Amino acid sequence: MTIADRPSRVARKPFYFNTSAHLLRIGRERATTVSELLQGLRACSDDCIFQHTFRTLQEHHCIREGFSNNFAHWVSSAYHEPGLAERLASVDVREFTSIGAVRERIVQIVDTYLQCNPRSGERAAREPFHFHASDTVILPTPFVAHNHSEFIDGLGRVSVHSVHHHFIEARLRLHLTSNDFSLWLQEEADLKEAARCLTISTSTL
Amino acid sequence: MCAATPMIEKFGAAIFSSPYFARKLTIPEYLFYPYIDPLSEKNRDLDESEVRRVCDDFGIDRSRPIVTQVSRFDRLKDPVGVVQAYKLARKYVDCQLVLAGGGERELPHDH
Repeated sequence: MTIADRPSRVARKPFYFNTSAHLLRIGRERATTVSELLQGLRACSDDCIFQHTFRTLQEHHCIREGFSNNFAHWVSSAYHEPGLAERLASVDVREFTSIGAVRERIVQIVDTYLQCNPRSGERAAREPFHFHASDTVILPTPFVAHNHSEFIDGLGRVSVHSVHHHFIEARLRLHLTSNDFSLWLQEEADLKEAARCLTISTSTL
Repeated sequence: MCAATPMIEKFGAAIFSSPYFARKLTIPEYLFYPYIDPLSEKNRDLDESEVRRVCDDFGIDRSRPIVTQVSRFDRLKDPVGVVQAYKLARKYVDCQLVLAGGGERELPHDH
């Protein structure tokens, strides 16, 4: 019997499908060397780290080649330091549940690299790295689920941005390696196995 | 600080098409891609007589729907795809195809 065939339990709290839009705010920091990149990484806002990591993944998830975050891409294309670029690209944002932890990992990689390659830090890049921040605006959608049938229906209708909001960005909000869908399925629809499978999917996208 | 800064800073935010154009304003500054310059000559409204003259010159029937692409004539703009789309649409709608644009020298204006 599939989940869709199971009798629906009416949820105490309906699931409201929301979505998020992002405004790209120009930051004050910019870097022309890796040393300046490190300073910027330490000083910039959390919204800035979010933009250059989680947002890059969302915008370019369909690209099979290249780097998954802007820092790695800049170090490769404008700074020609493939070793550092590969280390930065190895940072998988799906492992993190807080921006602070992502920042810490990236700072650690750049700092370690500069300690081993002090001359690399002061060479000027072909073009500067501009730190931008993401201003997130959460918007409602017309879709609300009161049971798992409506949930499945809504999931088929909402945009990929809504899925990203509930499935990827949620981990930063919840500080859990889970997502909004799993929590609702477990707590409101009594579908613990489906919730568990979805949580595993969050970590293996 | 440019002369327009005090006037710009009366708004809630400013938008730019490139970080290089941004200024250190006291209001939030945002990037918007892609962008259209509403003050550019090529984006101005056309008056009725000018529209009529161009349509007459090129034999465009204004009573029938138009499928059009306005761009430089470049492989990157996929004009063949536009022609294929037109052929598909023509099966259902009595429409006409208008390819309007310029050559490579138009490139700087597109950016």
